Amino acid sequence: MPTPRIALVVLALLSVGCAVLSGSREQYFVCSYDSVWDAALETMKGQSVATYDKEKGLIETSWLDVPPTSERSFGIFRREGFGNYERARMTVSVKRMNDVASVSVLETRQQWHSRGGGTSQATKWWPIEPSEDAMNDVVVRLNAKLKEKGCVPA
Amino acid sequence: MQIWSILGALVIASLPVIPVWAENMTPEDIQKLVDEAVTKRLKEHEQREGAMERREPAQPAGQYPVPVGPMTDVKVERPGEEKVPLSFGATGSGRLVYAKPFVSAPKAIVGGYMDIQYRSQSKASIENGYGGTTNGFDQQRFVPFIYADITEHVKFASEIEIEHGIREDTTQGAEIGLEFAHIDYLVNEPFNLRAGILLLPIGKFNLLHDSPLNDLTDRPLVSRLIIPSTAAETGAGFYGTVYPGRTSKVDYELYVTTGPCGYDSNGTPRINEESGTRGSRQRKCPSDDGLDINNGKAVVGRLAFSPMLGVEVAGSSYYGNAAPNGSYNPLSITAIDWTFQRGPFEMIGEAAWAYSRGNSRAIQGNTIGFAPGSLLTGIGGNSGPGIPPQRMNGYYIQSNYHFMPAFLTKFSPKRFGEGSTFTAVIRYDKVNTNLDNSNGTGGWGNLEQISVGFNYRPIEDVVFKISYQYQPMAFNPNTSQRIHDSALVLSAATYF
Repeated sequence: MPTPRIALVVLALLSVGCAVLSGSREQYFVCSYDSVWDAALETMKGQSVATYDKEKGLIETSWLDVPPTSERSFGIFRREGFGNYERARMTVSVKRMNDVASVSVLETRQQWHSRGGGTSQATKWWPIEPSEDAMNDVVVRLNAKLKEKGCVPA
Repeated sequence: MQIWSILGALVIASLPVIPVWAENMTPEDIQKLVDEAVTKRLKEHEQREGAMERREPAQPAGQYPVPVGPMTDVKVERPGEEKVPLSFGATGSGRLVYAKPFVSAPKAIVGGYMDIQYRSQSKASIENGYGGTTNGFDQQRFVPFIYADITEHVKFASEIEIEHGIREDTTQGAEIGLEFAHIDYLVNEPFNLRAGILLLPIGKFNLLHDSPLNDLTDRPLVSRLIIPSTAAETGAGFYGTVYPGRTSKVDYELYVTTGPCGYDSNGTPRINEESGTRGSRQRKCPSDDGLDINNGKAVVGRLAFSPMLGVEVAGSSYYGNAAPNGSYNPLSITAIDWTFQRGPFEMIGEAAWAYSRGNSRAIQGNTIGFAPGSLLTGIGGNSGPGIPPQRMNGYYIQSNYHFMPAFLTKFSPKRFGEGSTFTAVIRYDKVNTNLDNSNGTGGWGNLEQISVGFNYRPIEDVVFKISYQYQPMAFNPNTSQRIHDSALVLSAATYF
């Protein structure tokens, strides 16, 4: 009976995946939690913040239409029939630690329609790699705010 | 010049009805009057034409029946009729055949995919109705699709599948059918409605089965015999996506569909060892127009959890009565599937379990000579005593590694540049279509296969594949024998 073996393999891979596939930009600062939180909130001001919760240390924007990061076409004729749409949302997470606070920035990005002609899956957003540039931009602005507040990278 | 002459003639013709002009006028005066009148009429005519020309571009885009491209004669000349929508209220001659929404405002996309393969088996196990061959070409699938954005919230998608399309005679088993065709009404991301011929969400492969997507030519055994891809049924339901966490995502689909077709009209079970559950698909059902064989319906759903990009685990299930009215013998299929991607590595697979309750026993009203409830024997498609199976399962695990050597990119950036990739593949398949058959090596559907493959994609949507299959446990349908077999398979597939 392959069931237990398959379940074990799936669980093991899932655990490994959780450990290595975060994809976020995480930094540590010798600074109070409040200062880091304020800097993060100021950084994201005007970015269509959908939710923010100081207790949980989470700031999240709504889904925003963003310029596509790659060319999107289908078939051997490279047609653009399904459009080239991408959307993204940015999440900033602040965590309390002993004498430091950690802050991580992660973009979640999606593309409209699956590759090729899988049209039963056409009316759906599909996850793609986040934009490094978009995350860098937030990190740079966040670091500048933290520097203003006297926070030092750990 | 022609307009000038016509207007002049009209003015002259109108002179007798103007009494004042009849008195004391020289020919020069009359000529002058005619010239002035013609000039005046000409100006009026030009003003009217100009106004028309200015008005025409202001017509709302997409309003029926706006002329598009070469079909300019579609335009309705009668004033006001351009506002009449296309319906029984519309009038017109044979030209109306062109007055379709997709002509005035094209929103449909026509595309598709096709594949071609060459297969060489070590034994004559390629079924052809002539005792089998060891090698041959097969253009297995030609699948045009039509997709349409009807409105922002209404979408249409369909695939027309032509299998082994070289045949034109339906008595030779030509297979042409709608693989799926459905209308979606998008409410919001967590909840959308879908109705039509639906791809059943059992496992992941059935949903993403297109030849250009797959890195090996042959579909996994479990996705052919236990989950009978491509499995589709008429029905309706809903689907959506929710985001429970920062990086996580949950996708679901839930439909009510026509249900399985587990029996011929004489009561012979259609689920057997040789073809697993494939005969129970609605598309293969001998009922009139492919209609339901009972008043029951099936319920099918899939729930997929993705904790982060590149990881997804899903569970799915299908349940419905497979017997005609008067009997209740449900078929259930339960599956799990998984996808793990990390850089160039990928590990995918699925496992499925099917239970066809009562399939080994005669149903009410059968005309094949068995008392209802008694054990069936001698039923075709099954080994040994010919007892149809009830329980079956199978799984596959596949690993892919995508790469592109730098020297090749340097050698020919056009052929091996961005978007092109090589993939090395290995897959293990195991399936048993009759777990109750303990006769030696099991039934005809107790199969095992190891596939090693390599493919090249010049672009994402085109693939050239080569694979070697070792089958320590195989089946020869031409001789109905259990065999060891192996095969070399070359193929190409592309979206177009």
